[in-house]
Amino acid sequence: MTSAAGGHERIYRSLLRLYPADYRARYAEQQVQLFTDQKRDNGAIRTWLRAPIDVLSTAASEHLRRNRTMAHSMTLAPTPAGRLLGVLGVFGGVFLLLGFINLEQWTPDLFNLRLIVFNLGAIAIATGVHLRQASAGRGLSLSGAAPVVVANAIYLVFTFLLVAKPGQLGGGDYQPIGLYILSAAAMWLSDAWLGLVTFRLGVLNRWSALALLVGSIAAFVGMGNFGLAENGSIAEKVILTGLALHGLGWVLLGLEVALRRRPAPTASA
Amino acid sequence: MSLDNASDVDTVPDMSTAKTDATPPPQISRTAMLIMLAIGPEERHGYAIMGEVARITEGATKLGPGGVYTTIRRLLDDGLIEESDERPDPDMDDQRRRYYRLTGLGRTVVAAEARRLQSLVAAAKPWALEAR
Repeated sequence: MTSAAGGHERIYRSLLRLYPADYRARYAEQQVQLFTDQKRDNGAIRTWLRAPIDVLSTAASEHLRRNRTMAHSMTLAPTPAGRLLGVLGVFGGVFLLLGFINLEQWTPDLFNLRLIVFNLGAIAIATGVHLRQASAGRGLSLSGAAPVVVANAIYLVFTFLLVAKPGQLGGGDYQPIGLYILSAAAMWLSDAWLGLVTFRLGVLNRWSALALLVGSIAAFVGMGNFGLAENGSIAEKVILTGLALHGLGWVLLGLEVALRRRPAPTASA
Repeated sequence: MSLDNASDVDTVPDMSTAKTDATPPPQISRTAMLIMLAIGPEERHGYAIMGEVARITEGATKLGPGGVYTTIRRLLDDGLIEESDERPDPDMDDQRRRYYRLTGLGRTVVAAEARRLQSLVAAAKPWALEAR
C-alpha cells in the first residue's frame, strides 16, 4: 500500500518537471503534499482524472508568465520621441495609402497636403528606425536613414515651392521641373535602401522592411523614365502596387517604432 | 498603491470607510479572488484553501494543486497574501505545511472587489434575479 502510494507520488512528482525550475524549487513539495491529501480523501482514480490537466494547464501558464516577466524586465517602453516619430510615420504611410481613394478627385491642395504629410512621415520614420536599430550597426543604420531624410526634405521643399507658385498644381503636373522628378526618384531609391538596411540589420520586423524595399523599387521602376505612367498601363499597375506596399511598410514600421518595447541597455562592466 | 511595496503593508485598513474610487485596485482573476476569500481572516494551508473554495462555490469550482499554488505564487508576488511564520503543532498537523494569510493590501483588494460585485448584484436585482 505504501509502495503504491509512493508510486503515485513519484509519477506526480515527475509531472512537475513541466513547471519552470524556480517554481518547482518553491512549490513542488507543497504541491505533492496537496496531491497526496486529495488522493487520500477522494481516491486515486478521481484525483488522477484531474491531475494531468491541472498540471499541464498551470505549467503552461507559469512558463508564459515567466517569459512575460523576463521579457518585460529586459526591455523598456519606447521613448516619447520614439512614439512621436512612429506615429508621424504611421500618418505618412496612411496618407500615402489614402491616395488609393478617389485618386482622380483629389484637389491640388489636398494632393499636395498628402505629399507634405507623407514626406514628414518618411523623415520621422527614417529617424525613428535609425534610433531603434543604430545599436546593431550605427554606420549602416545611418547610411540607410540619412538619404531618406535628405531626399524627402528636398521633395518637401519642391512641394512647398509648387504650392507657393500660382498656377496649375497637383498630380501629373511635374514635367516642367526636372529636379522635382529626380528628387522623387531619389526618394524611392533611398526608401528602398532603407528597407534593405533595415532588413539586413534585423532589429525591426523584416516583413515591414521587405514591404518597404519591394514597394519602393516597384514604384521607382513603374515611374518609367522618371515620368508618371499612363493610365491603365502595366507600369501604372506596378507603381500602384509599389505605392501600396510602400505605404504598408511605413505604417508597420511606424507602429513598431511607436509601440514595440526596446531592449534595456546592459550594464557596462 | 504600489504592489512593489505591498509586503510593507502591515496595517489593516478600515473597510467600512475605505473609498473604492481613491485608488484603483489591482486587477485580480476570479481564481485569485476565490483563494483570497477562502483564506479569509484566518491562516490556511493549501488543502484547506482548496476545500474552502469548493465549499463557498458550492462545488462549482474545484481547484487542483497546480491551480492553487500557481495562484498563491502570484498573490505572494503581488503582496496580497503572505506566508505565516508559525508552524502547526507536530501532533496536530504536518509540519511541512505552509500557511497563508491575507496582507492589509489583500484585504483592501478583496473588500473593493466584493463591493464591486455587490453593486453589480444591486444593479441586477430589479429584473435579472427574477428571470428564469
